[in-house]
Amino acid sequence: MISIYVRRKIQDPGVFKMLFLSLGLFVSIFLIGTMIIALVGGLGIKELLTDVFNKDLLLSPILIRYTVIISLISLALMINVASGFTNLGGEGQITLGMLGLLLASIYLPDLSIGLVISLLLIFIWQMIPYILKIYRDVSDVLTSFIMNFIALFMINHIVTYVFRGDIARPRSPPINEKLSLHYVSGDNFLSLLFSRVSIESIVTLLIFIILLYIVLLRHRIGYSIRMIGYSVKTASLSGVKIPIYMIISVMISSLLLSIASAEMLLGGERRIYYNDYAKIGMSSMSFGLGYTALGIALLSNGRSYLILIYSYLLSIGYMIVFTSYGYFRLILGTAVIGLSLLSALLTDLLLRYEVKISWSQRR
Amino acid sequence: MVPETLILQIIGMGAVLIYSLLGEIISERSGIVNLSIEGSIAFSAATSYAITIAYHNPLIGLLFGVLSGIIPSIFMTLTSVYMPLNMIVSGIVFSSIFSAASIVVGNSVPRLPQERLVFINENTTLMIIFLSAVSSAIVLKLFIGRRIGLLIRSAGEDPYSAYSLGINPWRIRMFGLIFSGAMGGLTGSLLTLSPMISMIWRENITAGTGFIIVAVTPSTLWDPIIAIFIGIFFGSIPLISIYLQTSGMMFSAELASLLPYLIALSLYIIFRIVLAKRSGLVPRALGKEIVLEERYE
Repeated sequence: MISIYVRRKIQDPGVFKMLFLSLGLFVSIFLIGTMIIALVGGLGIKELLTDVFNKDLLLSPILIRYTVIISLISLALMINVASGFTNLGGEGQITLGMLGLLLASIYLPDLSIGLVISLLLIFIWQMIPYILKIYRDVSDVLTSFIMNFIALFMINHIVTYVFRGDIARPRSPPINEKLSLHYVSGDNFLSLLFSRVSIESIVTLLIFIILLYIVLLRHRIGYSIRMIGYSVKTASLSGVKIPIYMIISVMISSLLLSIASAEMLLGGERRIYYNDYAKIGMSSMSFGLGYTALGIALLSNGRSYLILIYSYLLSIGYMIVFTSYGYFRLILGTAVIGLSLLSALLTDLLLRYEVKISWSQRR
Repeated sequence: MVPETLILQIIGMGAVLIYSLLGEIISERSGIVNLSIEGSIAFSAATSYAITIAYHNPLIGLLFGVLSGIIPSIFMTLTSVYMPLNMIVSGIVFSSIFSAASIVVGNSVPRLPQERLVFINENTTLMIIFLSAVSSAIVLKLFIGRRIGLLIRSAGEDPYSAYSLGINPWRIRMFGLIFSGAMGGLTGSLLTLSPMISMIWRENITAGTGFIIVAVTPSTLWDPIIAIFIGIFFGSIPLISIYLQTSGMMFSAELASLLPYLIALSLYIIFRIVLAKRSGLVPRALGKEIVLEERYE
């Protein structure tokens, strides 16, 4: 009979062990899974590898654009995770951020106003499951997850009936040109790498990687936020003002998500599209990044600098998805979400627990 | 005047949901929130469709559908019962992977309307499916009060005390999960094989049914008899909204699609808040992994 024994480790894992183990698992699970699906789906491995692992693609502006977007979303979800809120509602929150920009585009066409509206919408949407979890012990995962569907169907209703920009097909009108991000231009090295991602997104990402590293791991605010994550009761008894730290963490998360949604909408086709059946994954406006970014947030374990490495690897995964076509793209897109979360789970298991699998004759 | 077809469709769809609700109730009574039921439903819908097309026999399709629904549960057992991984995230993982797999399986056969599960005629078949769902609920209700039911509840209430009394809570949770997977498999198979529900398999045929099931399970108070009414209620929402649209009422299809999620979420929150004050109704170890340090030695 096979026996599995699991024991909790007392000490926290070191940075290098965490980095190597998580990277190894992430790459291997991701590649093995994608290749199995590629083979089953009829796409040749050689073709897949040639498409993906070529020099031009690995440093291409589109890959860097996705790395930045995934990093922003992962940072946002990382601070949620640190404060004890497993936010599976990233998908819906990103599309709500886009709605905020659309509202600003129609009524008050200004980028900063658009960002403020989208920040507020995301903030309200995030606070609902978080408050319910902290004060009523309602599952944050389940609540935030179901709120995704509500947000997506609501956006579908809005682009069909409220702000329809096209008679032929339901989609929003194009975003006003006054709401535009700034991009590196000219014929230089920087534009070769960063021509597809806005300066605002890059600057925000760099600031928050440093800021969150200091705040979460080396500052009293971070200790308080993490204490709420470990135990609300202990935090309350220790004198931590829970509502204030809840607002701080959700505000930072909402800000990062609003920048990410601005990058996706304003750097893309500048319209919000109708999402058939409110599908989550490749066919949605946010490409299923809400889930994959949560995998990265769990993997990084509060260390913001690790997010850049994981996001780059995941972006390569998305390139695999983009090289495919038809229903095969849908399969890969859905599997990418599952595989990235699976690698996060297994890394967590191996880092925090001792696992022994043995074969015994007796029960 | 409500047409007879609509009533039959509500009965058929209600029966389909009752099966997966019963599965989720048993799983949650044993302490596991089985979110992979969405993967079970999607995968079994595709499998039963492909097998029925290949063998021209809906009964074989149904059998394979039920068996394929168990596969995500076996993976869930490994990660959430025998290893202490977050069961909600594990559920999303296996739902995603098996939803992807379902697209592979469903597209492996030509997209044709397959043979239906028909006994005597379509109406009688729907009634048989519904009555068997109701009788399953009654049988489960009786079992919950018996020894096997108490064993399941012990794993969901206090697995550590159960272990000290010589009960194996891991095995009980495994049973709960596999039962839930099989019921999810039955739901998925009936989504494609049952008459008058959907005419052909397509991607996203489940439309998040598994997630709705997980969200509405607390509102059943983990009671199989209440599950019958909840199943019929949630089965009727999309069908009534389609009926209202086709009968000329100005009604947003998007808002109608949103309604089950909104109601499920509201019910979940209300019941969770209300039940938290009443001890004994919510399984105390629900969603909590079992880690026994001494098992290691």
